[in-house]
Amino acid sequence: MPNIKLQSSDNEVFPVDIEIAKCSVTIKTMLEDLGVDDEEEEVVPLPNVNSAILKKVIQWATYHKDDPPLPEDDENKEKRTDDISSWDADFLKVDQGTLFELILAANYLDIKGLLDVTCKTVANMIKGKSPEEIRKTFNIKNDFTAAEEDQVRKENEWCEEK
Amino acid sequence: MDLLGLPVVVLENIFSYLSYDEIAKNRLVSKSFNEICSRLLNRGFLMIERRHALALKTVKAQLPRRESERRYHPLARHSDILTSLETRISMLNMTYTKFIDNGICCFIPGKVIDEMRRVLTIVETSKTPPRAHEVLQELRDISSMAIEHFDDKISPAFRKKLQEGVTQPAPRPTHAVLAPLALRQELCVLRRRCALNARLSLHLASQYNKHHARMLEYKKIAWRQRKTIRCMMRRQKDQESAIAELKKRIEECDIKYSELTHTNQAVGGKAIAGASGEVASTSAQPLRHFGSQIKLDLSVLPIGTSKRSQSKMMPNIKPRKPLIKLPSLSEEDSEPPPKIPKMDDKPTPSTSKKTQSTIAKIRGIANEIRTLSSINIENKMKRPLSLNALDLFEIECKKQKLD
Repeated sequence: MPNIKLQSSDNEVFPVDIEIAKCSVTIKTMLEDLGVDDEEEEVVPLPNVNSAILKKVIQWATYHKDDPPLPEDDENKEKRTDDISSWDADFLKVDQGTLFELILAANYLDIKGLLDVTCKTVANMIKGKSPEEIRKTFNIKNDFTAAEEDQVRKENEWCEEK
Repeated sequence: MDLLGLPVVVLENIFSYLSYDEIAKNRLVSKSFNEICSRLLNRGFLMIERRHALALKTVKAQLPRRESERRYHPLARHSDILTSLETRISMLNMTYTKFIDNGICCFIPGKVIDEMRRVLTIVETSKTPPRAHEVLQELRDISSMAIEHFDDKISPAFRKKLQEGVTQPAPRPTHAVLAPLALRQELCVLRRRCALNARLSLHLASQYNKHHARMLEYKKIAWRQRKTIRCMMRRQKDQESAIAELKKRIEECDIKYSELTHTNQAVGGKAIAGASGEVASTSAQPLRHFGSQIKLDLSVLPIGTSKRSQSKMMPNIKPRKPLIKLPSLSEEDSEPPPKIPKMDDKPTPSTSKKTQSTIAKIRGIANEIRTLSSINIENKMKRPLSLNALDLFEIECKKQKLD
Protein backbone atom coordinates (compact mmCIF):
# COMPACT_ATOMS: atom_id res chain seq x y z
CA MET A 1 0.00 0.00 0.00
CA PRO A 2 1.50 3.39 -0.96
CA ASN A 3 2.11 5.68 1.90
CA ILE A 4 2.06 9.38 2.41
CA LYS A 5 3.81 11.20 5.17
CA LEU A 6 1.79 13.67 7.20
CA GLN A 7 3.83 16.12 9.17
CA SER A 8 2.23 17.67 12.24
CA SER A 9 2.73 21.23 13.44
CA ASP A 10 5.36 19.94 15.90
CA ASN A 11 7.24 18.28 13.00
CA GLU A 12 6.26 14.75 13.80
CA VAL A 13 5.86 12.68 10.64
CA PHE A 14 3.15 10.06 10.40
CA PRO A 15 3.35 7.61 7.53
CA VAL A 16 -0.22 6.99 6.42
CA ASP A 17 -1.77 4.90 3.71
CA ILE A 18 -2.87 7.25 0.96
CA GLU A 19 -6.38 5.84 0.86
CA ILE A 20 -6.76 6.57 4.59
CA ALA A 21 -5.26 10.04 4.15
CA LYS A 22 -7.77 10.69 1.39
CA CYS A 23 -10.56 10.63 3.99
CA SER A 24 -9.50 14.23 4.34
CA VAL A 25 -10.86 16.17 1.41
CA THR A 26 -8.12 18.76 1.98
CA ILE A 27 -5.33 16.19 1.55
CA LYS A 28 -7.16 14.50 -1.33
CA THR A 29 -7.55 17.78 -3.23
CA MET A 30 -3.96 18.70 -2.51
CA LEU A 31 -2.65 15.40 -3.89
CA GLU A 32 -4.88 15.64 -6.95
CA ASP A 33 -4.06 19.27 -7.66
CA LEU A 34 -0.32 18.82 -7.20
CA GLY A 35 -0.32 15.64 -9.27
CA VAL A 36 1.65 13.69 -6.72
CA ASP A 37 2.13 10.06 -7.71
CA ASP A 38 0.85 7.42 -5.40
CA GLU A 39 4.25 5.67 -5.42
CA GLU A 40 6.15 8.70 -4.23
CA GLU A 41 6.36 9.13 -0.51
CA GLU A 42 5.44 12.76 -0.15
CA VAL A 43 5.58 14.68 3.12
CA VAL A 44 2.46 16.77 3.57
CA PRO A 45 2.86 19.43 6.22
CA LEU A 46 -0.21 20.09 8.37
CA PRO A 47 0.70 23.19 10.35
CA ASN A 48 -2.73 23.50 12.02
CA VAL A 49 -2.72 20.06 13.59
CA ASN A 50 -0.49 18.92 16.42
CA SER A 51 0.88 15.38 16.70
CA ALA A 52 -1.58 14.22 19.41
CA ILE A 53 -4.59 15.31 17.44
CA LEU A 54 -3.14 14.10 14.14
CA LYS A 55 -2.56 10.74 15.75
CA LYS A 56 -6.21 10.65 16.86
CA VAL A 57 -7.41 11.73 13.44
CA ILE A 58 -5.33 9.01 11.75
CA GLN A 59 -6.73 6.51 14.24
CA TRP A 60 -10.30 7.55 13.49
CA ALA A 61 -9.66 7.57 9.73
CA THR A 62 -8.04 4.16 9.83
CA TYR A 63 -11.06 2.75 11.67
CA HIS A 64 -13.56 4.36 9.27
CA LYS A 65 -11.56 3.82 6.03
CA ASP A 66 -14.14 1.40 4.62
CA ASP A 67 -17.20 3.47 5.59
CA PRO A 68 -19.61 4.30 2.77
CA PRO A 69 -19.62 7.95 1.72
CA LEU A 70 -21.93 10.06 3.84
CA PRO A 71 -25.11 11.41 2.27
CA GLU A 72 -25.47 15.13 1.65
CA ASP A 73 -27.01 17.12 4.46
CA ASP A 74 -30.71 17.80 4.17
CA GLU A 75 -31.42 21.00 6.00
CA ASN A 76 -35.11 20.21 6.23
CA LYS A 77 -34.45 17.00 8.09
CA GLU A 78 -34.06 17.06 11.80
CA LYS A 79 -30.59 15.93 12.63
CA ARG A 80 -30.22 13.12 15.05
CA THR A 81 -27.57 13.01 17.75
CA ASP A 82 -28.29 9.58 19.16
CA ASP A 83 -26.75 7.64 16.28
CA ILE A 84 -23.15 7.80 17.42
CA SER A 85 -21.49 4.40 17.25
CA SER A 86 -20.05 2.93 20.45
CA TRP A 87 -16.52 2.96 19.00
CA ASP A 88 -16.88 6.64 18.20
CA ALA A 89 -18.37 7.30 21.64
CA ASP A 90 -15.42 5.56 23.27
CA PHE A 91 -13.03 7.25 20.91
CA LEU A 92 -14.45 10.64 21.86
CA LYS A 93 -14.30 10.09 25.54
CA VAL A 94 -11.66 12.70 25.82
CA ASP A 95 -11.35 16.03 27.51
CA GLN A 96 -13.18 19.01 26.03
CA GLY A 97 -9.95 20.55 24.81
CA THR A 98 -9.06 17.48 22.76
CA LEU A 99 -12.64 17.28 21.53
CA PHE A 100 -12.58 20.87 20.31
CA GLU A 101 -9.11 20.33 18.83
CA LEU A 102 -10.49 17.32 17.01
CA ILE A 103 -13.38 19.44 15.75
CA LEU A 104 -10.92 22.07 14.51
CA ALA A 105 -8.71 19.43 12.87
CA ALA A 106 -11.74 17.76 11.26
CA ASN A 107 -12.90 21.16 10.00
CA TYR A 108 -9.41 22.00 8.64
CA LEU A 109 -8.82 18.63 7.05
CA ASP A 110 -12.43 18.52 5.86
CA ILE A 111 -13.25 15.10 7.29
CA LYS A 112 -17.03 15.20 7.33
CA GLY A 113 -17.58 12.02 9.31
CA LEU A 114 -15.29 13.08 12.12
CA LEU A 115 -16.71 16.61 12.19
CA ASP A 116 -20.28 15.31 12.37
CA VAL A 117 -19.55 12.89 15.16
CA THR A 118 -17.61 15.41 17.23
CA CYS A 119 -20.28 18.11 16.74
CA LYS A 120 -22.96 15.61 17.72
CA THR A 121 -21.01 14.83 20.87
CA VAL A 122 -20.85 18.55 21.73
CA ALA A 123 -24.54 18.97 20.87
CA ASN A 124 -25.34 16.09 23.18
CA MET A 125 -23.40 17.87 25.89
CA ILE A 126 -25.63 20.92 25.38
CA LYS A 127 -28.91 19.10 24.96
CA GLY A 128 -31.29 19.04 27.88
CA LYS A 129 -29.27 21.42 29.92
CA SER A 130 -30.33 24.75 31.27
CA PRO A 131 -28.30 27.83 30.34
CA GLU A 132 -26.61 27.75 33.69
CA GLU A 133 -25.65 24.09 33.29
CA ILE A 134 -24.29 24.82 29.85
CA ARG A 135 -22.21 27.66 31.25
CA LYS A 136 -20.84 25.29 33.85
CA THR A 137 -20.19 22.47 31.39
CA PHE A 138 -18.24 24.60 29.00
CA ASN A 139 -16.94 27.11 31.46
CA ILE A 140 -18.71 30.00 29.79
CA LYS A 141 -19.01 33.31 31.54
CA ASN A 142 -22.40 34.98 31.56
CA ASP A 143 -21.49 38.32 30.04
CA PHE A 144 -25.08 39.62 29.90
CA THR A 145 -26.03 42.68 31.87
CA ALA A 146 -28.98 42.17 34.16
CA ALA A 147 -31.26 44.14 31.82
CA GLU A 148 -30.11 42.22 28.79
CA GLU A 149 -30.58 38.90 30.53
CA ASP A 150 -33.97 40.02 31.76
CA GLN A 151 -35.00 41.05 28.26
CA VAL A 152 -34.02 37.65 26.79
CA ARG A 153 -35.72 35.86 29.65
CA LYS A 154 -38.84 37.97 29.11
CA GLU A 155 -38.85 37.19 25.43
CA ASN A 156 -38.70 33.48 26.17
CA GLU A 157 -41.41 33.56 28.79
CA TRP A 158 -44.23 32.94 26.35
CA CYS A 159 -43.82 29.16 26.46
CA GLU A 160 -43.02 28.90 30.12
CA GLU A 161 -46.42 30.24 31.12
CA LYS A 162 -47.93 26.95 30.29
CA MET B 1 -9.47 25.70 24.08
CA ASP B 2 -13.12 26.32 24.89
CA LEU B 3 -16.36 25.99 22.99
CA LEU B 4 -16.62 29.67 22.02
CA GLY B 5 -13.09 29.49 20.59
CA LEU B 6 -14.42 27.35 17.75
CA PRO B 7 -15.19 28.97 14.43
CA VAL B 8 -18.78 30.22 13.97
CA VAL B 9 -19.33 27.69 11.19
CA VAL B 10 -18.47 24.87 13.55
CA LEU B 11 -20.66 26.35 16.31
CA GLU B 12 -23.56 26.65 13.89
CA ASN B 13 -22.94 23.07 12.88
CA ILE B 14 -23.10 22.03 16.55
CA PHE B 15 -26.31 24.03 17.15
CA SER B 16 -27.89 22.55 14.04
CA TYR B 17 -28.16 19.30 16.02
CA LEU B 18 -30.39 21.07 18.55
CA SER B 19 -34.07 21.86 18.23
CA TYR B 20 -35.07 25.50 17.68
CA ASP B 21 -36.75 25.45 21.07
CA GLU B 22 -33.43 24.55 22.67
CA ILE B 23 -31.63 27.11 20.58
CA ALA B 24 -34.11 29.75 21.74
CA LYS B 25 -33.55 28.76 25.36
CA ASN B 26 -29.76 28.70 24.98
CA ARG B 27 -29.84 32.37 24.08
CA LEU B 28 -29.57 32.97 27.79
CA VAL B 29 -26.12 31.33 28.13
CA SER B 30 -24.08 34.29 26.97
CA LYS B 31 -23.96 37.14 24.50
CA SER B 32 -22.15 35.06 21.93
CA PHE B 33 -24.64 32.26 22.39
CA ASN B 34 -27.46 34.80 22.04
CA GLU B 35 -25.94 36.11 18.84
CA ILE B 36 -25.47 32.71 17.26
CA CYS B 37 -28.85 31.42 18.41
CA SER B 38 -30.70 34.55 17.22
CA ARG B 39 -29.11 34.19 13.80
CA LEU B 40 -30.06 30.51 13.68
CA LEU B 41 -33.67 31.30 14.73
CA ASN B 42 -34.07 33.97 12.05
CA ARG B 43 -32.56 31.68 9.47
CA GLY B 44 -34.82 28.85 10.66
CA PHE B 45 -37.95 30.92 10.15
CA LEU B 46 -36.81 32.01 6.70
CA MET B 47 -36.08 28.41 5.77
CA ILE B 48 -39.54 27.38 6.95
CA GLU B 49 -41.10 30.10 4.81
CA ARG B 50 -39.22 28.91 1.74
CA ARG B 51 -39.92 25.28 2.42
CA HIS B 52 -43.63 26.01 2.84
CA ALA B 53 -43.76 28.09 -0.34
CA LEU B 54 -42.11 25.27 -2.30
CA ALA B 55 -44.42 22.64 -0.83
CA LEU B 56 -47.51 24.73 -1.56
CA LYS B 57 -46.36 25.32 -5.11
CA THR B 58 -45.78 21.63 -5.79
CA VAL B 59 -49.11 20.62 -4.24
CA LYS B 60 -51.03 23.31 -6.10
CA ALA B 61 -49.43 22.26 -9.35
CA GLN B 62 -50.71 18.73 -8.83
CA LEU B 63 -54.23 19.77 -7.82
CA PRO B 64 -57.00 20.07 -10.41
CA ARG B 65 -58.31 23.49 -11.30
CA ARG B 66 -61.96 22.91 -10.43
CA GLU B 67 -62.96 23.35 -6.82
CA SER B 68 -65.33 20.35 -6.83
CA GLU B 69 -62.58 18.08 -8.11
CA ARG B 70 -60.09 19.48 -5.64
CA ARG B 71 -62.18 18.41 -2.63
CA TYR B 72 -61.84 14.73 -3.40
CA HIS B 73 -58.26 14.87 -4.62
CA PRO B 74 -55.71 12.91 -2.51
CA LEU B 75 -53.72 16.10 -2.09
CA ALA B 76 -56.72 18.05 -0.80
CA ARG B 77 -55.64 17.72 2.80
CA HIS B 78 -52.09 18.66 2.00
CA SER B 79 -53.40 21.77 0.39
CA ASP B 80 -55.63 22.57 3.37
CA ILE B 81 -52.78 22.17 5.82
CA LEU B 82 -50.43 24.25 3.74
CA THR B 83 -53.04 26.99 3.31
CA SER B 84 -53.62 27.12 7.04
CA LEU B 85 -49.89 27.12 7.62
CA GLU B 86 -49.62 30.03 5.19
CA THR B 87 -52.02 32.00 7.36
CA ARG B 88 -49.96 31.22 10.44
CA ILE B 89 -46.73 32.16 8.74
CA SER B 90 -48.16 35.45 7.51
CA MET B 91 -49.40 36.24 11.01
CA LEU B 92 -45.98 35.50 12.47
CA ASN B 93 -44.41 37.57 9.72
CA MET B 94 -46.60 40.53 10.55
CA THR B 95 -45.68 40.22 14.19
CA TYR B 96 -41.94 39.74 14.02
CA THR B 97 -40.52 40.67 10.62
CA LYS B 98 -40.59 44.43 11.16
CA PHE B 99 -38.49 44.12 14.32
CA ILE B 100 -36.23 41.44 12.90
CA ASP B 101 -35.47 43.64 9.89
CA ASN B 102 -34.60 46.50 12.22
CA GLY B 103 -32.29 44.25 14.23
CA ILE B 104 -34.21 44.81 17.43
CA CYS B 105 -34.97 41.16 18.06
CA CYS B 106 -34.86 37.71 16.55
CA PHE B 107 -37.60 35.23 15.77
CA ILE B 108 -38.21 34.48 19.39
CA PRO B 109 -40.51 31.42 19.37
CA GLY B 110 -38.14 28.64 18.38
CA LYS B 111 -40.78 26.12 19.37
CA VAL B 112 -43.07 27.46 16.65
CA ILE B 113 -40.36 26.79 14.08
CA ASP B 114 -40.05 23.23 15.36
CA GLU B 115 -43.81 22.76 15.13
CA MET B 116 -43.94 24.13 11.62
CA ARG B 117 -41.10 21.84 10.65
CA ARG B 118 -43.04 18.91 12.04
CA VAL B 119 -46.17 19.88 10.13
CA LEU B 120 -44.24 20.37 6.94
CA THR B 121 -42.53 17.02 7.36
CA ILE B 122 -45.95 15.40 7.72
CA VAL B 123 -47.22 17.13 4.61
CA GLU B 124 -44.11 16.20 2.64
CA THR B 125 -43.84 12.60 3.77
CA SER B 126 -47.34 11.39 4.55
CA LYS B 127 -49.66 10.38 1.74
CA THR B 128 -52.73 10.65 3.92
CA PRO B 129 -52.07 13.31 6.50
CA PRO B 130 -54.53 13.93 9.32
CA ARG B 131 -57.05 16.73 8.95
CA ALA B 132 -55.77 20.23 8.97
CA HIS B 133 -57.18 21.28 12.31
CA GLU B 134 -55.72 18.19 13.99
CA VAL B 135 -52.25 18.74 12.63
CA LEU B 136 -52.26 22.46 13.16
CA GLN B 137 -53.85 22.46 16.59
CA GLU B 138 -50.56 22.66 18.43
CA LEU B 139 -49.13 25.17 15.99
CA ARG B 140 -52.21 27.39 16.30
CA ASP B 141 -51.98 27.30 20.07
CA ILE B 142 -48.31 28.00 20.45
CA SER B 143 -48.12 30.55 17.64
CA SER B 144 -51.09 32.41 19.10
CA MET B 145 -49.48 32.33 22.49
CA ALA B 146 -46.20 33.61 21.11
CA ILE B 147 -47.88 36.35 19.10
CA GLU B 148 -50.07 37.45 22.01
CA HIS B 149 -47.14 37.46 24.40
CA PHE B 150 -45.04 39.41 21.96
CA ASP B 151 -47.78 41.92 21.24
CA ASP B 152 -48.59 42.42 24.91
CA LYS B 153 -45.23 42.39 26.59
CA ILE B 154 -42.40 42.70 24.12
CA SER B 155 -43.45 44.80 21.14
CA PRO B 156 -44.41 47.99 23.02
CA ALA B 157 -40.84 48.43 24.18
CA PHE B 158 -39.58 47.56 20.71
CA ARG B 159 -41.96 50.07 19.16
CA LYS B 160 -40.54 52.72 21.42
CA LYS B 161 -37.06 51.69 20.38
CA LEU B 162 -38.12 51.81 16.76
CA GLN B 163 -39.64 55.28 17.14
CA GLU B 164 -36.50 56.48 18.84
CA GLY B 165 -34.52 54.83 16.12
CA VAL B 166 -36.64 56.65 13.55
CA THR B 167 -36.40 60.02 15.28
CA GLN B 168 -32.72 59.73 15.99
CA PRO B 169 -31.46 59.13 12.50
CA ALA B 170 -33.81 61.80 11.17
CA PRO B 171 -31.11 64.47 10.94
CA ARG B 172 -28.90 62.05 9.06
CA PRO B 173 -30.14 62.82 5.59
CA THR B 174 -29.66 66.59 5.95
CA HIS B 175 -26.26 65.93 7.46
CA ALA B 176 -25.45 63.58 4.68
CA VAL B 177 -26.45 66.14 2.07
CA LEU B 178 -24.68 69.06 3.68
CA ALA B 179 -21.53 67.30 4.75
CA PRO B 180 -19.83 66.49 1.47
CA LEU B 181 -19.05 70.04 0.43
CA ALA B 182 -16.37 68.78 -1.86
CA LEU B 183 -18.97 66.75 -3.69
CA ARG B 184 -21.19 69.80 -4.13
CA GLN B 185 -18.27 71.84 -5.38
CA GLU B 186 -17.42 69.12 -7.82
CA LEU B 187 -21.00 69.10 -9.00
CA CYS B 188 -20.86 72.87 -9.51
CA VAL B 189 -17.66 72.50 -11.52
CA LEU B 190 -19.24 69.77 -13.58
CA ARG B 191 -22.29 71.94 -14.25
CA ARG B 192 -20.06 74.80 -15.39
CA ARG B 193 -18.15 72.43 -17.62
CA CYS B 194 -21.42 71.16 -19.04
CA ALA B 195 -22.52 74.71 -19.87
CA LEU B 196 -19.16 75.46 -21.50
CA ASN B 197 -19.30 72.27 -23.48
CA ALA B 198 -22.81 73.13 -24.62
CA ARG B 199 -21.62 76.53 -25.84
CA LEU B 200 -18.61 75.01 -27.53
CA SER B 201 -20.75 72.45 -29.27
CA LEU B 202 -23.10 75.20 -30.50
CA HIS B 203 -20.16 77.21 -31.83
CA LEU B 204 -18.74 74.15 -33.55
CA ALA B 205 -22.11 73.41 -35.06
CA SER B 206 -22.38 76.96 -36.50
CA GLN B 207 -18.81 76.70 -37.84
CA TYR B 208 -19.61 73.42 -39.43
CA ASN B 209 -22.66 74.96 -41.08
CA LYS B 210 -20.55 77.82 -42.43
CA HIS B 211 -17.92 75.51 -43.82
CA HIS B 212 -20.57 73.31 -45.31
CA ALA B 213 -22.14 76.29 -47.09
CA ARG B 214 -18.72 77.37 -48.35
CA MET B 215 -17.98 73.92 -49.58
CA LEU B 216 -21.23 73.89 -51.50
CA GLU B 217 -20.31 77.26 -53.06
CA TYR B 218 -16.90 75.95 -54.11
CA LYS B 219 -18.54 72.94 -55.59
CA LYS B 220 -20.81 75.17 -57.65
CA ILE B 221 -17.83 77.23 -58.80
CA ALA B 222 -15.91 74.14 -59.74
CA TRP B 223 -18.91 72.88 -61.69
CA ARG B 224 -19.14 76.19 -63.53
CA GLN B 225 -15.45 76.17 -64.31
CA ARG B 226 -15.68 72.69 -65.65
CA LYS B 227 -18.51 73.82 -67.85
CA THR B 228 -16.53 76.80 -69.15
CA ILE B 229 -13.51 74.61 -69.80
CA ARG B 230 -15.68 72.29 -71.86
CA CYS B 231 -17.06 75.30 -73.73
CA MET B 232 -13.56 76.65 -74.39
CA MET B 233 -12.42 73.28 -75.68
CA ARG B 234 -15.30 73.26 -78.07
CA ARG B 235 -14.46 76.78 -79.20
CA GLN B 236 -10.82 75.89 -79.65
CA LYS B 237 -11.83 73.01 -81.87
CA ASP B 238 -14.08 75.30 -83.89
CA GLN B 239 -11.30 77.84 -84.21
CA GLU B 240 -8.83 75.21 -85.26
CA SER B 241 -11.21 74.04 -87.93
CA ALA B 242 -11.77 77.63 -89.01
CA ILE B 243 -8.01 78.23 -89.16
CA ALA B 244 -7.61 75.10 -91.25
CA GLU B 245 -10.26 76.36 -93.63
CA LEU B 246 -8.60 79.72 -93.90
CA LYS B 247 -5.28 78.09 -94.64
CA LYS B 248 -6.89 76.15 -97.42
CA ARG B 249 -8.35 79.30 -98.84
CA ILE B 250 -5.00 81.05 -98.63
CA GLU B 251 -3.39 78.22 -100.47
CA GLU B 252 -6.08 78.39 -103.10
CA CYS B 253 -5.52 82.11 -103.36
CA ASP B 254 -1.79 81.55 -103.72
CA ILE B 255 -2.37 79.12 -106.54
CA LYS B 256 -4.73 81.52 -108.26
CA TYR B 257 -2.31 84.34 -107.78
CA SER B 258 0.56 82.43 -109.28
CA GLU B 259 -1.61 81.43 -112.22
CA LEU B 260 -2.64 84.98 -112.72
CA THR B 261 0.93 86.26 -112.53
CA HIS B 262 1.84 83.77 -115.27
CA THR B 263 -0.97 84.90 -117.49
CA ASN B 264 -0.26 88.51 -116.71
CA GLN B 265 3.40 88.08 -117.52
CA ALA B 266 2.44 86.62 -120.83
CA VAL B 267 0.01 89.43 -121.58
CA GLY B 268 2.33 92.14 -120.20
CA GLY B 269 5.31 90.82 -122.24
CA LYS B 270 3.35 91.11 -125.47
CA ALA B 271 2.20 94.60 -124.59
CA ILE B 272 5.74 95.73 -123.86
CA ALA B 273 7.04 94.21 -127.04
CA GLY B 274 4.31 95.94 -129.05
CA ALA B 275 4.87 99.34 -127.52
CA SER B 276 7.20 101.92 -129.15
CA GLY B 277 10.29 102.57 -127.13
CA GLU B 278 9.23 106.13 -126.41
CA VAL B 279 9.55 106.59 -122.76
CA ALA B 280 11.40 103.90 -120.93
CA SER B 281 13.78 104.67 -118.23
CA THR B 282 15.68 101.67 -116.99
CA SER B 283 14.60 102.29 -113.43
CA ALA B 284 10.91 102.60 -114.27
CA GLN B 285 10.63 99.35 -116.22
CA PRO B 286 10.23 96.87 -113.47
CA LEU B 287 7.73 99.22 -111.88
CA ARG B 288 5.75 99.47 -115.09
CA HIS B 289 5.75 95.79 -115.41
CA PHE B 290 4.57 95.41 -111.80
CA GLY B 291 1.89 98.02 -112.24
CA SER B 292 0.52 96.21 -115.25
CA GLN B 293 0.37 93.11 -113.19
CA ILE B 294 -1.57 94.88 -110.49
CA LYS B 295 -3.96 96.31 -112.99
CA LEU B 296 -4.67 92.89 -114.27
CA ASP B 297 -5.03 91.66 -110.78
CA LEU B 298 -7.57 94.28 -110.01
CA SER B 299 -9.52 93.54 -113.12
CA VAL B 300 -9.57 89.77 -112.60
CA LEU B 301 -9.82 89.34 -108.86
CA PRO B 302 -12.97 90.31 -107.00
CA ILE B 303 -11.03 92.99 -105.20
CA GLY B 304 -10.93 96.72 -105.07
CA THR B 305 -9.20 99.50 -103.23
CA SER B 306 -10.94 102.44 -101.76
CA LYS B 307 -9.64 105.34 -99.89
CA ARG B 308 -11.57 104.29 -96.83
CA SER B 309 -10.19 100.82 -96.71
CA GLN B 310 -6.83 102.07 -97.54
CA SER B 311 -6.84 104.61 -94.78
CA LYS B 312 -8.14 101.99 -92.42
CA MET B 313 -5.52 99.49 -93.23
CA MET B 314 -2.60 101.83 -93.61
CA PRO B 315 -3.43 105.06 -91.92
CA ASN B 316 0.13 106.41 -92.10
CA ILE B 317 0.45 106.16 -95.80
CA LYS B 318 -1.00 108.99 -97.83
CA PRO B 319 -1.77 108.63 -101.50
CA ARG B 320 0.75 110.47 -103.54
CA LYS B 321 0.84 111.66 -107.03
CA PRO B 322 3.00 109.54 -109.21
CA LEU B 323 6.34 111.13 -109.75
CA ILE B 324 7.06 109.01 -112.70
CA LYS B 325 4.73 108.64 -115.53
CA LEU B 326 3.57 105.15 -115.43
CA PRO B 327 2.87 103.19 -118.50
CA SER B 328 -0.80 102.58 -118.11
CA LEU B 329 -3.31 101.05 -120.41
CA SER B 330 -4.86 104.42 -120.98
CA GLU B 331 -1.51 105.93 -121.90
CA GLU B 332 -0.45 103.02 -124.03
CA ASP B 333 -3.55 103.43 -126.13
CA SER B 334 -2.64 107.02 -126.85
CA GLU B 335 -5.55 107.71 -129.08
CA PRO B 336 -8.49 106.63 -127.04
CA PRO B 337 -8.05 109.15 -124.20
CA PRO B 338 -9.26 112.14 -126.15
CA LYS B 339 -12.18 109.99 -127.15
CA ILE B 340 -13.28 109.51 -123.65
CA PRO B 341 -14.31 113.05 -123.01
CA LYS B 342 -16.17 112.86 -126.22
CA MET B 343 -18.01 109.97 -125.00
CA ASP B 344 -18.55 111.86 -121.81
CA ASP B 345 -20.07 114.83 -123.58
CA LYS B 346 -23.44 113.38 -123.56
CA PRO B 347 -23.71 112.43 -120.05
CA THR B 348 -24.02 114.91 -117.23
CA PRO B 349 -20.96 116.88 -116.08
CA SER B 350 -21.15 115.00 -112.84
CA THR B 351 -20.39 111.75 -114.60
CA SER B 352 -17.37 113.24 -116.38
CA LYS B 353 -16.09 114.44 -113.11
CA LYS B 354 -16.60 110.96 -111.72
CA THR B 355 -14.55 109.37 -114.42
CA GLN B 356 -11.77 111.83 -113.82
CA SER B 357 -11.81 111.17 -110.15
CA THR B 358 -11.76 107.43 -110.73
CA ILE B 359 -8.80 107.77 -113.00
CA ALA B 360 -7.07 109.80 -110.34
CA LYS B 361 -7.94 107.11 -107.87
CA ILE B 362 -6.54 104.43 -110.04
CA ARG B 363 -3.36 106.34 -110.42
CA GLY B 364 -3.16 106.82 -106.70
CA ILE B 365 -3.66 103.12 -106.24
CA ALA B 366 -0.92 102.40 -108.67
CA ASN B 367 1.36 104.65 -106.70
CA GLU B 368 0.42 102.96 -103.57
CA ILE B 369 1.11 99.60 -105.07
CA ARG B 370 4.46 100.75 -106.05
CA THR B 371 5.24 101.79 -102.53
CA LEU B 372 3.90 98.59 -101.20
CA SER B 373 5.78 96.51 -103.63
CA SER B 374 8.63 96.45 -101.21
CA ILE B 375 6.35 94.99 -98.51
CA ASN B 376 5.82 91.29 -98.27
CA ILE B 377 3.49 89.78 -100.80
CA GLU B 378 1.61 87.94 -98.19
CA ASN B 379 0.59 91.15 -96.55
CA LYS B 380 -0.67 92.32 -99.80
CA MET B 381 -2.63 89.19 -100.26
CA LYS B 382 -4.60 89.79 -97.17
CA ARG B 383 -5.77 93.14 -98.23
CA PRO B 384 -8.03 92.18 -101.08
CA LEU B 385 -10.13 90.16 -98.66
CA SER B 386 -11.22 93.37 -97.03
CA LEU B 387 -12.31 95.11 -100.17
CA ASN B 388 -15.91 95.87 -100.30
CA ALA B 389 -18.49 95.78 -103.04
CA LEU B 390 -18.35 99.51 -103.76
CA ASP B 391 -14.72 99.34 -104.72
CA LEU B 392 -15.45 96.46 -107.00
CA PHE B 393 -18.16 98.42 -108.63
CA GLU B 394 -15.83 101.37 -109.17
CA ILE B 395 -13.22 99.18 -110.73
CA GLU B 396 -15.80 97.64 -113.02
CA CYS B 397 -16.90 101.07 -114.12
CA LYS B 398 -13.37 102.15 -114.77
CA LYS B 399 -12.70 99.08 -116.87
CA GLN B 400 -15.74 99.73 -118.95
CA LYS B 401 -14.68 103.29 -119.55
CA LEU B 402 -11.23 102.26 -120.47
CA ASP B 403 -12.62 99.78 -122.95
